[in-house]
Amino acid sequence: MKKILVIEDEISYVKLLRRQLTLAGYTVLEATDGKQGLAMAKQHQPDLILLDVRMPQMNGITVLNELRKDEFGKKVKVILLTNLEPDDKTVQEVVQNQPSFYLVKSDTELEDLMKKVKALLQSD
Amino acid sequence: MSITDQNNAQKQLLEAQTEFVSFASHALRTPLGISKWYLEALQADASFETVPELVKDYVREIYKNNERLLSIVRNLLSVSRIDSGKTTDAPALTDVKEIINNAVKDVSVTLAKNNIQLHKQFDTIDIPQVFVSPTKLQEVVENLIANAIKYNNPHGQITVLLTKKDDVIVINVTDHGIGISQEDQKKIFTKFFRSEKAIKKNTEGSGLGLYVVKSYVEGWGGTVSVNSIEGQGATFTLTIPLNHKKTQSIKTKEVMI
Repeated sequence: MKKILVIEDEISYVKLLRRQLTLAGYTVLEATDGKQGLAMAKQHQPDLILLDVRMPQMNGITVLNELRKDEFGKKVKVILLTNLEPDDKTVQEVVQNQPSFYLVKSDTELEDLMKKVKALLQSD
Repeated sequence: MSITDQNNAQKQLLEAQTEFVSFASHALRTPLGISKWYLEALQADASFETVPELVKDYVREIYKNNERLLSIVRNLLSVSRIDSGKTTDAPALTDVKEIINNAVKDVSVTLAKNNIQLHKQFDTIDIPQVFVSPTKLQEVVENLIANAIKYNNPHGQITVLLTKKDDVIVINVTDHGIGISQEDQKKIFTKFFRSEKAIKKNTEGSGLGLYVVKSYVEGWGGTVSVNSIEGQGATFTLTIPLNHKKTQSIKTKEVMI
């Protein structure tokens, strides 16, 4: 079973993603801040990471940059879940040339996120 | 108070207002985004099928209005960026045809829901690319089509026409809806303006969409204008210059709230 790590500080999002992803047949791991998320990513080596950008302790951009420093982290697929604008420079720079994608949460339908997750994990 | 002091005070006030709008918009987006996904999950849940039609309708209304709030927040964010001159405009050579196709795809559900047909007419000659922010151009086209849907008649038609004229690209969005009076045509591009008729026809809308359109387009060195006869629909015309250097050097001007 494919493993997905959700790194998100909003409990409401975590709860919903846990249920939806579990229903879709994935194993879900959860972290509620960036620091914990980074540690869990290294320890559990998930197939996909859903990563919030604005978080306490360590924000998503820093998590992603840290993650990309080692062998596993270089390859892991990441969907950045932002509420920033799609043309926000920081987000764009970070996702360039990496197996990372971003979605603006409030502009994306839940169904489209689930489709994206499925497509990314099927292409393995 | 000297004129410099007054200017500084005014500038500070503008900054504070912009900062507040930006903060409030971001703060609102999170809970609205959460409600959006929960409402979608609720409607997609297998058990929702068995719920009485009345209850389904309640949920759909809640969802519709949540989307409305999100759209207002999006526009407010754009306005706060325009007013602070902090638009993170990353211009690139942009294929206008592709942008129009994407915009139409994004509104296809709304079109179908309102039984409105949209016709795209692209000039057969090669349309050169323009040097603008693709995300912003799409926002502009979507805003115009969204208005054409809102103020159209049921089963109405919309035409999106793309042509090249001398050294500009021209986009026309035409509807056959309620139209705009001569008096209101002078005001529709100002912030928060909504005509009496627009309010009566459709309560949705924040009066910000056309202000955003005008600010972006003028930032590219282009123009936006309207041609309308009340009761017979309206045509909005955008022009975007093909002179890249010129579009690059013109910055979005600061506008007072």
